[in-house]
Amino acid sequence: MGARWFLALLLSGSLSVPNAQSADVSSLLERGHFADALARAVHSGDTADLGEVWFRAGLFERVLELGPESIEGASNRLVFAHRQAAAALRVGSNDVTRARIDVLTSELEQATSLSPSERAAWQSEVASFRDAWTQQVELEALVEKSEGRARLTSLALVLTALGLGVGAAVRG
Amino acid sequence: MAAALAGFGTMAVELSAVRLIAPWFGTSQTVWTQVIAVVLLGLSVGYVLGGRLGQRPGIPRRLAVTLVVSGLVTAVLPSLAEPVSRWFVPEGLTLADSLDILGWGSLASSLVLFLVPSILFGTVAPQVVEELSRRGLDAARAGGFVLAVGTVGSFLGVYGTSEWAIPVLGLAWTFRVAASSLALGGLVVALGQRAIGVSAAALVVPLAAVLAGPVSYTAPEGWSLLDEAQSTYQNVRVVEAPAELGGFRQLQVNESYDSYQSVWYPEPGWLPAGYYYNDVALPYFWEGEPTTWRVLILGLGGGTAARVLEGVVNESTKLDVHGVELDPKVVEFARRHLDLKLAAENVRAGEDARLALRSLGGDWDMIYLDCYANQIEIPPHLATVEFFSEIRRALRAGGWLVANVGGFDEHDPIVCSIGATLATAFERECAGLRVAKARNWTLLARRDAELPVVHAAGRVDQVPEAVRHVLGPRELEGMVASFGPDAGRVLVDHFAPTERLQRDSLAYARARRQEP
Repeated sequence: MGARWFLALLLSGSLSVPNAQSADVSSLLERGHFADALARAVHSGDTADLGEVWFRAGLFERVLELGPESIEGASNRLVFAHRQAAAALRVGSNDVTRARIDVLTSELEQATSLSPSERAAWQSEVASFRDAWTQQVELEALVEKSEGRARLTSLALVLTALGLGVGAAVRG
Repeated sequence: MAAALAGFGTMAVELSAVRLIAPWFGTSQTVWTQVIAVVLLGLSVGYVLGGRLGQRPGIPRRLAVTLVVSGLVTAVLPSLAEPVSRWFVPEGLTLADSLDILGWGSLASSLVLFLVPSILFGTVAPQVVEELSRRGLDAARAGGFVLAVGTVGSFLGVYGTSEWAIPVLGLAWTFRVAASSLALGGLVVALGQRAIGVSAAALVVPLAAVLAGPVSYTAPEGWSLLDEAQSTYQNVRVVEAPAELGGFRQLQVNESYDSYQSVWYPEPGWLPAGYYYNDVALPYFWEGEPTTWRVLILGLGGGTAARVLEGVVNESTKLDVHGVELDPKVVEFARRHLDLKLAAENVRAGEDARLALRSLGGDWDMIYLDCYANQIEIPPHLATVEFFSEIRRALRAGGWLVANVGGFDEHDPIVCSIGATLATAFERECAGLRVAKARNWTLLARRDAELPVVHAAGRVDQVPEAVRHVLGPRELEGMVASFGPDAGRVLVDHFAPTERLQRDSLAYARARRQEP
């Protein structure tokens, strides 16, 4: 259960994330001016800003539709990759999640401008996403296994009961 | 007596069975269907076996043994429920993820837990008929008599279990009483037969029933269980989150998963983003913070919506909130743990929302509708054109209906269907606001007045500064939708398949999640 709450914290944005958002967009979002923030992000063409707007609105699918090409600066790319991984986990598609975590890892490796402590923090973030994703995949496998077990048990018990009944009726 | 006890035991186990597995599977129509099917299967098999056993001598002694054994099995059911159910339900499921496992899991658990006692109960009646026939009663009279007595026993089992035992004694003691009653019946029959061994075994049953583990909810790691009870309708509990998560409280019912019925934060007023309850305050601000604001909440729950209003409404406004809640235990817990402060005369506890609406009269500024059963089901009679028309009549001209509907996007089957039904009843388009970071929609309709929130582009166009943090995300495309009468299936009293629509909604979301 603990990991679920960690994931909830992560997705709600309560855990620390290096803040490389455009100050204008962040400030507009803080004040609830989403339309203005979106217009600003579209105008600047900064995918990290766009991702942040949609992430904060809970439109996680939109975050996933964005490409990282236009993002300048290692920190911005990392913020964007982080948001995409979080959005993918939230939307719950395993393939997408795995792909986004790969993006996050790759961005981290290329981010030469990060200090050792920033790098360590990001490595920890990546590990958290990977754990959360692994947990989700395991859960889905477990659901499948449990369903199979329930089907087999049901079938076995129903057939046993019917066998008992029919057997008693025939012999009677 | 044996036939009456078998009938009593059948109904006691059947009605308690759903409640027993509710912490893992809920009490939806699907779960009820599985439990009833298992009991019927068991009874059918038991009838045949009983007919066969009746051909052998020693019926009274065998009946005594059957009653004692069925008592023993009933006694240990509460202890077995958790390990059996957990074997079919993985830890950490979300409500949406639980869709696939509910049907098969509840069937398998029901079979493991309730098939044997049902078979035992079924064997009783044919043997009693045979015994009466051997004592000179003709077959037709004996059959009729046993059926009548068994049905009276079932009747007592139904009322005794659901109306008295479960709400008054709780689930664990309901099983203890049922098990002991069966054992007592077995003891009486055994003593009549001078069967000392069976009599002694009968005396063990109440002891086993008391020793059997209690039915109790286990809070997740770090969370505290503040209170728990079996109400007439459900397992109700209040849990508190760990301090690092904010120390908020949730009122949960049955299986819960990641869902809850009400939430409490230390201060009244706005809740953090992601809670649909904040939308309850929108009409008040759209109307410019009037001097009086009269609100009826249908589906009061733990009073979260009332607490939001209490905290955000201007001091110069006379706020008059009334609430209707079907489950009195929920209201009791809300007063004890969630700071529900509504005066007793303003709360209709234990009443159905539709009936209460009729008796409460009209002229409301706003009616807030948040009625759910079994976690995800909107009660069918509270989602129809006829009911929404009654709400419309109960509103003053220009009054608002605000409804919470669980759904994923503007194409979600249940959101579209409720939206179309609202639009039909209010004779104009209604609006839907997606709740950021949640799987909820807030649907808005107004009596004979335009909604200020949606224009042609599907965006919010009136955002008072006081609610900018609530409405801000709704400025984006995809966060607001309007629904006309043709947006989906219009629900009417004689056909409102809300449970099926809700399942369609979960299946829709699941399919969407699989898209790359």
